[in-house]
Order: sequence, then structure tokens, then C-alpha cells
Amino acid sequence: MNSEKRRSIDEMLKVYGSRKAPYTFRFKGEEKVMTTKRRFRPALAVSCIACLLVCAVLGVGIFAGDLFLPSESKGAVISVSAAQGEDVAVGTQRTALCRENAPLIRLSKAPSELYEDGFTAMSYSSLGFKISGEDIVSYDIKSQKGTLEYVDFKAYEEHKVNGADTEYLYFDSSFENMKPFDESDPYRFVIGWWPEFDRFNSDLRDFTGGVDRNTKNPTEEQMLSMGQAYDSLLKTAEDFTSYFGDTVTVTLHYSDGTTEVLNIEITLDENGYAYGEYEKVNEDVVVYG
Amino acid sequence: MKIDRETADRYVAVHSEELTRLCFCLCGNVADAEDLFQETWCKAFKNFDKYDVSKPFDKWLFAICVNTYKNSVKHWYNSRRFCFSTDEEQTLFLNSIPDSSGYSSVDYLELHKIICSLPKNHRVVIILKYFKDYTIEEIAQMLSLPVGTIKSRLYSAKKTIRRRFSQYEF
Repeated sequence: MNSEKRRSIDEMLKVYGSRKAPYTFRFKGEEKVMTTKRRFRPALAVSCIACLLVCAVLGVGIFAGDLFLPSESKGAVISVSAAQGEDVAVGTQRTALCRENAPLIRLSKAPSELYEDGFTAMSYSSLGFKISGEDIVSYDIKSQKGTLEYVDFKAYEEHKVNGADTEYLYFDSSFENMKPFDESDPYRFVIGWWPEFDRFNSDLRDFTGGVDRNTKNPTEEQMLSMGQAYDSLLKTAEDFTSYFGDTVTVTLHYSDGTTEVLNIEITLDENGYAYGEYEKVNEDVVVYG
Repeated sequence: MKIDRETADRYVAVHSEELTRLCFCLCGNVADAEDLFQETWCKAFKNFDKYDVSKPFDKWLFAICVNTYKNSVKHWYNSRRFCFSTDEEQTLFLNSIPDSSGYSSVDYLELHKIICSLPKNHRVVIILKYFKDYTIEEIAQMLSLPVGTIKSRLYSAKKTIRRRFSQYEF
């Protein structure tokens, strides 16, 4: 890159940064801000139509006979969302869950990502599970290694709109008796998943002689050392799945009294992109009291 | 210290234009930018008692804006798009580039896409740097980060932009 080109990019950035906004927004007052609700309204209509279509397809499939392979779930629709991504339906085939905006980041290529609140060894967004199905009454969900988060949309919207202090996130390794996801339900919730970082950070600490991702105000040398150590670790491990991979077990309770257990395997490739697929573990008849 | 209506209106009148510009730069599309704008003002007024009046209000406000933005894109349930959601938005963007800039508006569109594709932390730093020509120290203060981190992020971001822009040109 010659100096002329370097200068021209700088000038372009100055013009880009100093351009005027096409118009100025007006503050609507604290009590009138309904940003999330407004944005969700058109999405709600589209989602409702999509849900109806899915239900119709499932209904026709069941009516026509055994549409699905024996190993597939009989009625569940499981989709996963990543930050800045779209919903991805998880099936029995390995499916990419994260798009390019949500991979793990190799630190030597982006040393500046090292810390934000102390050292942060990687950037990773949570995945959200939306579990629905025509005949599903409820489901239980459990993560073997990671952490699950329960996101209460109603409380979240209230928090966003008027800054209410209502809690909208709850963390645990399992949740039971969950209602199936329904986009039109104002009290809907979604289960999110975060990978477990402890083992990775423990190994990282060994590599870096005690400097870990929680170290505050590291020196530049420590930052560099951390980045190199991270990459060494990646080279040695070369397997994100062994660190962050997880099995999320979903037990589906159907209206006819049967249950179905699905193991959703979350794996990561060499670039840190997440994949998901499920395997049906068993199907039992359960008589409800 | 609770802010009174008159003072709040005065702050809104003075700083809305700049805040709009920052929201546009960060979000890249109208719908998300407007959401961010509203949320930033709500948070600023709610936490007005934490504002140190001896310091510039705009920097405090922009810091809230940036933090709100960073939090909002962290979770999957806030799936947001960075680039324009309609052709009209793209046209508005192209029209906002002055003719005398020496580059075509299509070049700026490419630049915009490259900036949108940067990691969040890099994007925020590069936007703050060129949005009001803030110094490294000012950005570090606004983001509560060490100066070295800002330098490093700025360097990496510009290097990525140059590399990608070269690929686009040739």
C-alpha cells in the first residue's frame, strides 16, 4: 500500500464520518418510546403466516403417512438464532448455526479483541433456541456443559422501552416444563445457550503464566503474549469442539402422553463456526396423572 | 439530580442532530438507528444524576449511545442488520456524500459495506475517530479503555479497511 493510497483512505474515512445524516430524529419522550414493539409488529405478521404454513405442512405430512425418516422428531420444529443472523432450523443433518458475524476470533489476527472487561479471550454470541410443534404440550431442556439462559421477552421489551428494572434473563443448566415457542404470544420466552469457557481459560492461564482473561489493565507485552499463547493453544488443540462443544437435551412432551428425547449436538469447526444436529434418543409412553 | 423538562428539551434540541448522525454511523440503517437514538435519550435522562456537569455533555451522551449499541448487538435476540434495509436508505446514503470528495458515491458505498463488516469493537473505534475527529485519548475516555487498546483497534481496523478496499479496487 503506497502512501498516496493510505492518505486517500484516510480522506475517504473523514468524508464518510463527517457526512450529514439524511434527517434528524425527534425524541418522542420517555413514555412514548416503543421501539422494539414497533419493529416486531411486521415481523410478527410474517412469523404468524410462516408458523401457519409450517403447521399446514406438518399436518399434511402426518396425514399422508410417514413423511419423516424414523430417526427424525415426529413434530418438533427446532430453530436456532445467532446474533445478527437468521433463524436456522436444526435437523438431523449437521447444520451451520453461526454466520460470519459470530465466529470465535483468533487473537493474533485481531489482538485488539483481547480485552474489553479485563482479558476476553474470545468473542462469542449466544445461540437462541426456539422450540415449537403442533402437538407439543411442554418441553424440558438441559445443557451438559454450557449455560442456558431464559429470556423473558415481555420483561425485555419493558426494559428496553422504559428502562424498567424487571429481570428478563435467568441462567441455569436446565429448565423444565417450558411452553412451546409462539411468536404471537406476548409472554413468550426463548432459551439461549452459552458455551462453557472455564476449561479453555484454565488452559490459557497455564500457557500464559497466570495472566488470564480477567486480568485488568494488562501491559502491551502481556497482550501480545496472551495473543500468541491463545494461538499456540489453538494450534495444539485444533479442536474447538473439545472446549466449547455441548449436548443440549430436549425432552418433548406431546399431547398424546408420549415423550421424545432429542440430543442436539453443538460442534464447532476449525474456524470457530458452530454447527448443530439432533439425534432422537428414545420415545416413551408416559401416562400423565 | 433529576432533570427538569425544560433542561431536557434544551439538551435534546442541541444534541439531537449529532446523536442522529452517530446512530446512523453505528447502525447503518434507519430503523435500528432510530431505536438507538430513543434508547440513548431515555438512558441519559434516567441516569442524569450520574452526569458530571463539569464535563462535556456530548461525550457522556455518545458514550451511552455506544454502550447501548454494543449491548444491543451482543445477543442473538437482537438480530440486527448493519446495512441498508431499503433502496431508499441506500439512495439517501449516496446523496449524503459531498460531490467534492474526489471519490464516487459507489466507492463510499463499498467503504460503508467494509466498515459494516468489521468486528464490533473495531467498527465503534473507527466511527468515533472519524465521526467528530476525536483524539485517541478522548475515545479511550469515552469507552473506558486504555489508550493502547484504542490505538491497536484503530490500527487493525484501518489495516482491514485498506486491504479490503484494495481487493475491491482491483
